[in-house]
Amino acid sequence: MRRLTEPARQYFSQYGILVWIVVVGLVFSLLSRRFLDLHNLLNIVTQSSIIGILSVGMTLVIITGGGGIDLSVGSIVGISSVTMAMLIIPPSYFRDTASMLSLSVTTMTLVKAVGVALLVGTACGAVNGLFISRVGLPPFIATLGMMITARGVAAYVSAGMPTYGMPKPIVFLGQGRIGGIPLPILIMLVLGVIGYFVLTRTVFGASVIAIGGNRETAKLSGIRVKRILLIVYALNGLLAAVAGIVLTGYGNQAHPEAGALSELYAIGAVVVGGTSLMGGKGGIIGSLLGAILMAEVQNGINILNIPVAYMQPALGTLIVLAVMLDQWQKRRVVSE
Amino acid sequence: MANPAHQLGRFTGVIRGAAAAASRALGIWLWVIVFAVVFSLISSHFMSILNLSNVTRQASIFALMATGMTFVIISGGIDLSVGSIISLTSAVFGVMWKMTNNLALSIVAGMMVGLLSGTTIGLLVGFLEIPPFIATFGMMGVGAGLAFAVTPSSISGFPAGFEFLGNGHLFGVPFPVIIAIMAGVIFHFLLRRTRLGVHILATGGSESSALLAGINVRARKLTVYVINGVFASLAGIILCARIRSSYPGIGKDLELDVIAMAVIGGASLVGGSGSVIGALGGALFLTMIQNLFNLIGLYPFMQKVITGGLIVVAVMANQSRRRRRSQAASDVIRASTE
Repeated sequence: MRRLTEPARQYFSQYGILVWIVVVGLVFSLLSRRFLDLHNLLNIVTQSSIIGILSVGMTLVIITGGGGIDLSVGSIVGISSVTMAMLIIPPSYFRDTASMLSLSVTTMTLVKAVGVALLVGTACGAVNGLFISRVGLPPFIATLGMMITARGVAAYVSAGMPTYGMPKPIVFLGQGRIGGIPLPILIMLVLGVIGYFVLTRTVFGASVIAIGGNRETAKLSGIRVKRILLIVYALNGLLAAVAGIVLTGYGNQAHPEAGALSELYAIGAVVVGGTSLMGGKGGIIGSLLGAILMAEVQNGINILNIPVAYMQPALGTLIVLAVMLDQWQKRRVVSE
Repeated sequence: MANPAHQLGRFTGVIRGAAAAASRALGIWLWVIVFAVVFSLISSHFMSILNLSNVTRQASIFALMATGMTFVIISGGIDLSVGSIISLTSAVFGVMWKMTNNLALSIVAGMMVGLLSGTTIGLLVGFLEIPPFIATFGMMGVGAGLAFAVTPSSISGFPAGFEFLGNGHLFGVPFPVIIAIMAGVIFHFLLRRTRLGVHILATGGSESSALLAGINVRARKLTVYVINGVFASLAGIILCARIRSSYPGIGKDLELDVIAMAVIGGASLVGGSGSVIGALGGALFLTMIQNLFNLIGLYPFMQKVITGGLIVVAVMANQSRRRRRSQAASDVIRASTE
């Protein structure tokens, strides 16, 4: 019997968050008949996809250790969103935001806009990476500076105003479906799978984990620590830009304040998913599940018509509880 | 022989030495002085008595928060919940006043918010070993939500005497400034001259060594979060007095500013070092910058860009100073062993 239950227990101690998703789901489906509905379940995963996309890069950043964290991703979401929108609008339409609905956009403009948005995100991430790897700033401070700066530039680029009505292809990225599955979910899954393989099956991934485990040892064994750090933060900026573009399509608007606070939720998803803030260990699957768990709670609270004021307390309590249980379980595994 | 080039070299050497010594002794306060001089050249209003009393009043409220945060950061932790604690303090204080019209009771109720939330975080971090980022992120959500659950609206109509706490003057000095300086001096000595302070520094420096040295690491962690919570609530009450009303969203987004102030003041995010006097300087530094931006009417987006840049530069300057000092220390050690 022991031999049979042992793999399951190990699995749960690794992905204990799955248990949480099921338990929370059971509670909500007992409380409301509308919860356990295929449409609603798809909704939950769609809602989790922005934080999910962000959490893929954030997992890598946190695994590099040494206080590795990126507070700027929310602002990068905002800056890439408005950069793209401003490149799509012809200057003559500037600030006449509603008129975009009737605009016909050439493919070339669209490619340019998306390309520049991705480039801006990557550049922000690379600047973070340079300050952290070359100047030796604590990641918290370097990315806090970027968080404030990028938000300011986003307000400047957009003149502080939201832009409504995106071209069809962008809206398709956020609202479209392929084979019945919403596109944001597919994008999150594809990026998650790529991230998983990069982290677990490539030399680069092994280097990231080694840096987080022990930076000195990694350096001595020939890993180019500075370069890896730069790449990790640049990648995180790129992923934040992707999230920004998907979010723009999902809401059919570009907003200079888009993505505010999402950095903290992304970090929350990563940690709830079992990645240690000390660095050196963690996984992307857990982070995606963490994002889904948070979206599930938000969705349940909406369905149950609980006042919005209790949404944040519920999420906060849940995150702390999940981490607490996770640690308790790990300690039990270790003591055995 | 007096060689002009040699003399010039000596002269610049003296200047450089003096600058290094000043920067060592003053830390962020050197930059506060330099920027104050520059700012008074940029805007003639900056050095007016009215503006200075305004800036220091504003800065002193932040200084209280940054002092508490410094203790948390020194212990190797971080607190994302201060903004929410301030909001909840403000809301509880306002509702209590509306219900009882008893000022003392309302202030006590407001202070209890910081005490209780600080204790909760301290227990989570110290005794249940939840990472500080997560415990305080959770508390951030709980505090921000509960504040609006307690009262969604702003409350005013406090007695005139209460306003003194935020807007009054004592011997011409704004009252919050006096509170901040007193708190700063007391907690500076607590950190540098008492056993508790040394234990907190040791806990952040190396937790395992502190444990081996017989320090009750868990209790020390609890202590720093309680200190921080109480400071946050105190700042929240003074903030209410300053604007003569309570508002459940008053502390929104303050936490990162406060952390930046503590770090600019010399607190190291890996724990083990930091300074209360520096935190006061960090609070004054950021407030001064915001004030100048408002005086010269800089666009909000440019304010953000420059603030973000200055935080990075200030910490960079701090770090290179620390590196030079540790370099000098290792030179001394090498020289003495040779």
